[in-house]
Amino acid sequence: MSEREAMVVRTEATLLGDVVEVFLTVDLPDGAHVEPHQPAEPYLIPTVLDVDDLEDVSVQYPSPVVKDLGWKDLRLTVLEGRLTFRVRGRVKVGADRVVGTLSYQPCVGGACLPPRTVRWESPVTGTTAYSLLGALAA
Amino acid sequence: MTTTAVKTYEVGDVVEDFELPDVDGHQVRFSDVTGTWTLLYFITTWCPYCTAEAPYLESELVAKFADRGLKLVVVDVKEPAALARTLPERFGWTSPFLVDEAGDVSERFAPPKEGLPPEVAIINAHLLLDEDRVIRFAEYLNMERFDVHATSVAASIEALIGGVSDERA
Repeated sequence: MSEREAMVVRTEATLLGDVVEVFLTVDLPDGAHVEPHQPAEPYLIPTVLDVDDLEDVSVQYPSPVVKDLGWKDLRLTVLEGRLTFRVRGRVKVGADRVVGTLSYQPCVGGACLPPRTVRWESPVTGTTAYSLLGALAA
Repeated sequence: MTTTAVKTYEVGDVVEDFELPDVDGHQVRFSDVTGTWTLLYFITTWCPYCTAEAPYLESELVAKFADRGLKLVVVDVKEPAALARTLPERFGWTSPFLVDEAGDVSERFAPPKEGLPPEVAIINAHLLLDEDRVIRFAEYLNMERFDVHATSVAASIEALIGGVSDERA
């Protein structure tokens, strides 16, 4: 992956009882954008965040901005700059990390590049009776 | 290991004949599917510009000049046939659809674009070839002036091959 399309991913996962909350932060380079989770047009490739091994998962995607890309008769909504995804879900007993994937299509420098999927993981921080019991049971 | 730069085509060059498989794996010789005029178009399934333009490409743009002998030949770039075939199926194309899975043929047509590999730089390119396979014009993707009806491509074709069939006196 070249520098100008690189996405810096940071994660922070906090355990709240048996629910883990993950904030995943992505920095897009200047001039780059990706499509939102619900693109403005059906032919655009959505950004999708998937999580493994969580139950009752909800994902809050970053809000898109309207961008005039010069496309005749079209104004698109895109994600650009710093993106924050919030994930919540019930964690399995004893789990010490949350893992998942982020799929997106980067567009930069006047062209869109092939879609890609990156894997991310985040250690779970925070000690609760639930996780302590899980550790003892493991 | 050494690499050799590929000489890429420019307007005015004669395109060498080549063979590529169609989506069913049948080898197709390019010169067998060209016409008096041929619009050569490069596509991938992941190209949003291509899939935005695709519904109009054959039925609108090429149909407009069909009575002038314009034919469409589409080349899918660096994708397996199983994936590429979803495009003509989805858009109901009947024009020749060739699969350049290795990207070697497409690379010859790719313009130099800083930071972009040839298989990306060539996507959404429109090249008009005459009956001698001379490239008469080439328009490459420019996000700033993109439109789904490829208006500027139509205007270039019209300027080269004559009036459009739906012009009224």
